[in-house]
Amino acid sequence: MEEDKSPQDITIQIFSWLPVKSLMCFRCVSKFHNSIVLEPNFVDLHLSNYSKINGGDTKLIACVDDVCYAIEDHRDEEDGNATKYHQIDNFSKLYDRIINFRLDYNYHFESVNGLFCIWDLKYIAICNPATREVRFLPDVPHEGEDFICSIGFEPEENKYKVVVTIESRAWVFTLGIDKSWREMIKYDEHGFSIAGYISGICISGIIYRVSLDPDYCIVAFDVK
Amino acid sequence: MSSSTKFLTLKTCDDKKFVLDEAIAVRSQTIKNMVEDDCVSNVIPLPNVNSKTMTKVIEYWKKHSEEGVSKDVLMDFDKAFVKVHHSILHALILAANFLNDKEILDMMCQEVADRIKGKTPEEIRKEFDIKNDFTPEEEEEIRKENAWAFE
Repeated sequence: MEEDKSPQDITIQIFSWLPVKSLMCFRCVSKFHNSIVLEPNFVDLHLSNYSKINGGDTKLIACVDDVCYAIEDHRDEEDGNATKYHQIDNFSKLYDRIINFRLDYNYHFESVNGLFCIWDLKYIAICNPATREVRFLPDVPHEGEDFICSIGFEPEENKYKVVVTIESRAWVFTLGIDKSWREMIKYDEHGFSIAGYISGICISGIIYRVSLDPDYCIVAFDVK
Repeated sequence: MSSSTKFLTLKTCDDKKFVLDEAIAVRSQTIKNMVEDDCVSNVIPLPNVNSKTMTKVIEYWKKHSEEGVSKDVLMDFDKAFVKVHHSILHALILAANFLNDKEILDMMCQEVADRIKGKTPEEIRKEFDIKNDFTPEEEEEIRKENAWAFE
């Protein structure tokens, strides 16, 4: 028979159903509560409980100049105000880097499990609006060509991966592991051109994107 | 229902007996393991669960084992099921934990989370009788780091 769980385990179970804002706030309840929230195992449990039913709090990101807003959707709020947004403070740092590069910038983003990948013509940032963290990835391994990013979750390794594509070539970066981009295996003789305006989707560790060439096909990136 | 329906007798800590269809009782992984290991003689003692709580658990099990119940009806049932006083909620969590019924445990933990999500750390300490073992400086440090979460 399975061991009876301690009250601490029950606290962990309850915490796994809390929004991130409450978790961050409850870190100062006690040392034990502070330690739960930072545990990788807890993050996984939270992902399969709270985040699974809510799909992450942030549904959309909107950037106006140097200000980035994370837009949340809360269905059963008492005050009837279902949509909330907050500003991601650290985003202005991203803006600084972009503005130094070019003036005709354009932001793009893709998201999975509430984790956002934001990029422009040169820089790629990973943003977790729930914890308000922003991190930059190393520069893309080529210069001067427009690229498209995709972000996916690979359940076997339990890692997030970013794929960057230019025509015919693709690189992958595993968050928390890789220090630089790794080129993915070449597909075949076909070139492809990912449609940037149609979002990709990640299912069981495979990122699917629509390619304009050849003839509107679907390209699957197996990031396992 | 087939004629070979087996019944189990569960005995709670306050000596009340519940006779239940085995097919329903095995929603509890704990009871299921006992049945599979053949260590069920006639009465299964549940030393950690009282009769009031067990009545609630069985009400849930029966509703969720009924045939032909629509998803909407079950959702309404679940919604009403969790609207209980926090002492009962607490007892149900401990019972679901002992009986190893993940469905009830998850639902109840989710309800507690919903009830506490907007509270302050002080309120959490008071409600769950937790001792603050931070020095004022340590606590201030964490508050500063996550100032936005306290807005």
